[in-house]
Amino acid sequence: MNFIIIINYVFDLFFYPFYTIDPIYGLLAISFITTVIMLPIFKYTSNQESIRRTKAKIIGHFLEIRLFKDDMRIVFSAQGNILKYNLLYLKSMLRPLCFVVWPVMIIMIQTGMRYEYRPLRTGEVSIVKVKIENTKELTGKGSKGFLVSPEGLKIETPPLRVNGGGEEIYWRIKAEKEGVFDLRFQFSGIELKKRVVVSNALSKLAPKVSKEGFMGSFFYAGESLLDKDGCVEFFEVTYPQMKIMLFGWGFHWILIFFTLSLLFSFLLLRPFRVSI
Amino acid sequence: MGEGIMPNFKLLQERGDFMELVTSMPPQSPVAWSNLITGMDPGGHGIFDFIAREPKTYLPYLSTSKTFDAKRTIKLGDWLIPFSRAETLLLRKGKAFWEILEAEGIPSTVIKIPANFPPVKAKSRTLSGMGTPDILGSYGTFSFYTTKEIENEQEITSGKVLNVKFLNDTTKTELMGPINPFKTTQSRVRVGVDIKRDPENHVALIRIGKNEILLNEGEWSDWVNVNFKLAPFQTVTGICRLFLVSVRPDFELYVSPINIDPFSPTVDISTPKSYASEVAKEVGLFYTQGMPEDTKALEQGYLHKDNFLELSGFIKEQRVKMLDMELRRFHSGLLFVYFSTTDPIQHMFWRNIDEHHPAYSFQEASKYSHVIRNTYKDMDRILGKAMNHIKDKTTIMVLSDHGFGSFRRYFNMNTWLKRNGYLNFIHEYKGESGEFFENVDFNRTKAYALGFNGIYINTKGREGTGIVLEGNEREMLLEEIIRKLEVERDPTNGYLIIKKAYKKEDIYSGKYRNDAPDLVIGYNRGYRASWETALGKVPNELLGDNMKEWSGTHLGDNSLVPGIILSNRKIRKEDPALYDIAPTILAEFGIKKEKEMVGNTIF
Repeated sequence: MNFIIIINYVFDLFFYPFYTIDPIYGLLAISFITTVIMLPIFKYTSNQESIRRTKAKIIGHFLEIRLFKDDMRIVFSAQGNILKYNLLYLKSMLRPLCFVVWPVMIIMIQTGMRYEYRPLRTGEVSIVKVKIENTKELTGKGSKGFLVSPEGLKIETPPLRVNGGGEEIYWRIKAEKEGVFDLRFQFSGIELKKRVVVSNALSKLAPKVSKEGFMGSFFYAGESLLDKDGCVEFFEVTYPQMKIMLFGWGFHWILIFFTLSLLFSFLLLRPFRVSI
Repeated sequence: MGEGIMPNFKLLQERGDFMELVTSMPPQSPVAWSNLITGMDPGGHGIFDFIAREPKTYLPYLSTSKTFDAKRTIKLGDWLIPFSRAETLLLRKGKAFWEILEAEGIPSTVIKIPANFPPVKAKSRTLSGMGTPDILGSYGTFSFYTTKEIENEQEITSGKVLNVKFLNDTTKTELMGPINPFKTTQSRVRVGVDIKRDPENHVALIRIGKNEILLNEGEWSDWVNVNFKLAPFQTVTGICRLFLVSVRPDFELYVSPINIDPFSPTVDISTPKSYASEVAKEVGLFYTQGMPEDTKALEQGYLHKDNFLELSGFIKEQRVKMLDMELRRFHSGLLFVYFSTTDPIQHMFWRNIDEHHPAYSFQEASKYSHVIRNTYKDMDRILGKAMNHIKDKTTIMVLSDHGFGSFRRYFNMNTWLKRNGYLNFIHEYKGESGEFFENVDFNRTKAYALGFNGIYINTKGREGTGIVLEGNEREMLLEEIIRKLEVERDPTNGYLIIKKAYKKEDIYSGKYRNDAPDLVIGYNRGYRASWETALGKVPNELLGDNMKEWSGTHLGDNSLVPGIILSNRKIRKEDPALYDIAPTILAEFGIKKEKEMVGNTIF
């Protein structure tokens, strides 16, 4: 768990300068860092010599096809060899990928927490959802579960309980002013909190708090997790999906992240002396 | 203005002038706005009514635009692969005034002007207005979901009513999308709708695609994006708003017509193409549909008057935001913004200010008689806002394309033609004909009415089964019909029904005059052609009381429903008309009017 807390601190520190500027700069920086981390890992966990040799062979067999295009026997044999060396190439990628995938996953989760959604803006509404294991006293008529909002957030609807004693309760809230607020769900003397961010700036957001556990901790955004033995499975606030604006078009951050990482990889291949 | 509730209009009058503005004949919006846009009369721009007809088949079509399917397609099973684009054409002829301004380098912004869909190709910023369809291709089709017992799904005028049944307070249904152009079956695409309601509280959660909307009873939603999948990698996006009428005992949900999404329009709704999204970025998603005030839903009881007024208010405020947006960057050139609100409000609330209207009720009037008055007060507020932005040197014109009057009694023109022997049935025993002249024997019919103000002579060589010869026979027939029509009286009160019937030759000029109805009917105060007449129906009764919510009209004689014009400049022309506006605008920039224009500058 300490490891996850450290990771969170590192990324908080890294993204701190980018919260108030255009999101594209943060993505540029994180894509560059990802490439810088990924290339050496790839270099030292892969058989560079074998990769170079396999790629050369594939190119060689392509040339063979061009040179001997009139000889069908050679063409078929070259095609077979291209397929074979492609498979070998993929095989040689497996080992480095096993090492690369972990840091990349951590980077993507941390980046996603900042770029997947944007905070609510003043005047915007959001749906709050609490999922409960079958506890009729919370979801049935005369429910004892209440949502309490602080000043700055307004609860606009009464609770909507699905299946009349079912599993989910919904409310609509409205952001009335900027700030970081705690919504509280109270029942039977127990109180659960969910952070709601209302801001025009970039923020680290976790729409959902779930039960304690490895995955819950992974998506930890500084909020208390739910008791793993409790009856509430998750407490969620919907945030608007973030679009990264580029040349007047809105893109999902993953598309920009991969494009930039790929671009940086090609640029840094030679300085890092890596073959991929 | 006389009562002092419109101080800004009064101020404008004091600075310049306030006069009646001669409207088009007939005074229908597409005709009137085409007069204004082109500086011509209908003979020049070719728009004569909301509805035009194919003379060979007698079938009606909407007069301002027409859509043509893709010309080249390949069939693959039930898939249809198009190799060319479907096209929508604007049928209005003649140059729009902003095209002329643009050629002279004058920047123009024209927001929501009617009769400009699809917008004419221009570099100027324009947003299409009345005539712009929803994504179903109709002029606005709403959906209504109800637990009330109905027989199957009902297709009603401009709407669809669907029956839903809740099990454990949950139900699943569908939202109807456009016809899939990639399918040979011409089936509609649909998107799933999941609805959950609370067992006790009056609140419901509606899921449309990925959107979750939580609404209290009696509440409007914000805009909801709806994606319809047509084919792999082919989707069409629309936007709609929801109104939760009631949660229980009966669940009732109104879904507005699905508007074209300004961020990804399926057809052109602006020039340049990016202008629609530019406006949406600035003012938020907006109603792109031509006439978004859903009068049909109100008429049929699916929206209450109060909710209709809320809707109308949203639309007006959106237009105000557009005006604000453009005023902020307006330095020179032309800025035009169309406010539609006064039109549907008067159509729907007139009966509350007319004690002689057959549907007048004191109780209703005591609640709604202020609505029209308040709308004008509000327009005054908007004018005040605009006047504060505008410098003294700038010419301001505020105008309406027509006035209004009461629609007390409807007149079935085709029934009159039948009773007077000009129209005959195939099967006389039926005693009437359905839409599109279903039971009309054109081999024995001399004249027929289609649209709201037109009568066509069944002319040999022009109509599919024409029997009346051009020349003398036609002339004599026209004279006879005019003579009889102009003395036709309402048996219930003795009032003349028709003020005047006009021969097209007498009121139109221009090269499209021959496409006009042979007679254009100017109805008297209180009267109008029936809805049935417009679609070529021949019912049994000749006249009837109009008991509909749609109780105000401007489809009479143009002398009875003139528009108005106010300006901060003195108007020198004695009888300014709509077709004078385009030449006036051109003259303001020192540009000569086009030779086809029949109007003249008013200053």
